[in-house]
Amino acid sequence: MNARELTVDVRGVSKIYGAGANAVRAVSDATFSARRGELIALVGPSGSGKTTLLAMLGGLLTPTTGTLTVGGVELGAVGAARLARFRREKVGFVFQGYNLLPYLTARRNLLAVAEISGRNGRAAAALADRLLDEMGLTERARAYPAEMSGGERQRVAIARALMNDPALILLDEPTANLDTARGRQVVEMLVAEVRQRDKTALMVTHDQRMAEYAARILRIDDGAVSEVR
Amino acid sequence: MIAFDELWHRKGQFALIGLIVTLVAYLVFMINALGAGLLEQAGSAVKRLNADALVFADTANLSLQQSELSAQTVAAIRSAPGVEASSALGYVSVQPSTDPEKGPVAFLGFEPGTISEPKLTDGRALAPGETGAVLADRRFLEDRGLAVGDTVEVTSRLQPYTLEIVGEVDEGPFFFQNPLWGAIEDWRLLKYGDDPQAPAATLVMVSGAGGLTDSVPQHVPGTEAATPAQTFNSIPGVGPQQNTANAIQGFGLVIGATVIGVFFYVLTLQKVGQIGILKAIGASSWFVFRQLLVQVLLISTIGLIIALPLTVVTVDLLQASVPLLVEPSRIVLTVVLLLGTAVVGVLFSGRRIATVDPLIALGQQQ
Repeated sequence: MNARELTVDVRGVSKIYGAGANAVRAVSDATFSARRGELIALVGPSGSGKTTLLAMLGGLLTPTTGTLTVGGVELGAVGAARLARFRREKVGFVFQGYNLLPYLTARRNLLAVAEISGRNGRAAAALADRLLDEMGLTERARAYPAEMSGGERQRVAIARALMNDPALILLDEPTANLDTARGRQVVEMLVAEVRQRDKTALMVTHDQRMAEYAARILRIDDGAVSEVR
Repeated sequence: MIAFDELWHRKGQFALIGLIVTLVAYLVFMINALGAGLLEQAGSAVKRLNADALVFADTANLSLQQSELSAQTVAAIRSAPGVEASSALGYVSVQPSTDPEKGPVAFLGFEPGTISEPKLTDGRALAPGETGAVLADRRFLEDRGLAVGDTVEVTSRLQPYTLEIVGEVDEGPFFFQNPLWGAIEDWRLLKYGDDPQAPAATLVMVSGAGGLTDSVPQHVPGTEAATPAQTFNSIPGVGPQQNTANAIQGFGLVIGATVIGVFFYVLTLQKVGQIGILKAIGASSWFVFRQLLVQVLLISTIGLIIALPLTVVTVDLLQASVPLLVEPSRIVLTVVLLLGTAVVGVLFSGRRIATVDPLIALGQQQ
């Protein structure tokens, strides 16, 4: 496979909530693309449509108009079951609120991803242990989310997003609850993962220092996307 | 499997529903044992008679109390086409003088050494034509505190007769009575005295080739025939009794399914957020529902595993005063029905799971 292959192709995508006079245009005519091996930072003020754009790329929302292709799948044109499979196979999502399952330990939260894909066994366990180690969470592998600090939960959420070896990693404020040193460490790890394993990552961030790690920076203002760098 | 992690995490809640499932299963099992026990009392010995057909007088409407066959009719039945083996059987209700308050017992006159011979579990068999001796049913001996080697005095037609118990059998009750199996000659004496014109049998058991239930009555006027199972089912009261037991059991199952269904539905509503997360990371609705199914089946199975020995112990304790019987085939059927209704109970939760939008994962903090 070509390392410079296009993984994300967004053409004229808009997302409109509501109808008529109450219609809100969350994303407006966005066009951009991303290749394998790229980490892209998505910056912009609160309410500018960052999360909506991320949700569409992650197959959680379908665009109102335009075409959105990720990893060869045109997301506006497929049904709910195919979207679930897309999320399972192609996407690693780090939610702003972590969204760990409260009844699973850190390690089991990672293994749940493998279980959903029907990939149980040693390879999955080894990958979970490696990711926990890279996130500095080996000691906390058996802790439940309720027993973890915000930063620990954040790192478990990132490790979980890498469990299905996704082509596209979407991160919503991944460093918001981390101190600067830990934040840098996490983003550096992400950069390494993206480069070494030819992934594409889109990271929403408010933190200019973290955005500096990105190969490209996209800015979104009132739903309109523009390339900053 | 994450189903088990969740179960462990919510073990208090699941223990409660497990307790309820156990109690429902216990109730259904007990009703089941009661139904089987009543059926056994009605006359399992009739059902177990080793014959292709039981031939009655056609005026008796398959009634063991009404049927009377003359010696000529018995001889005609024995020589009817297709009959390879036969035995006359006589039934009379007699009153033992020990513990008369426990009611009468059945005296079954049979022909030792023929197809009517009951299976001996203790003591010795009767010799052909041996009178004054009986094989007693196990329940009769337990009930009256007697043993092989004792004698029992019974009264019939105002006359006392002394019978020696030489063996024990376990064919079960006959017409709600625990039987004594003795010589057909003794039966005739007990029922009719020494009248030479008296009937020779209540019914004749026959086995052999072809449809004997049809062919024998065709060849022998004044008779009708049925299989042992048909005869058993025509015992008055058996049908309504079983319908009642089945209806109560049905209610038990419906209540169980509803309780399980409501519990898991409430649980599903409580964890809509978590279901959203699972779906957001790619789980299909079927995957989520499967976790629920595994939980339901596990909880139900544990409930059944606890309820079953509980039932066996209770049946053992109450057996002396209540007709109860644990019959494996009925228990298996009940287990299947309970598991089936539990699954039906969670189908509503499945519909709710299918409608959860993974997008809700974006707006929450977990």
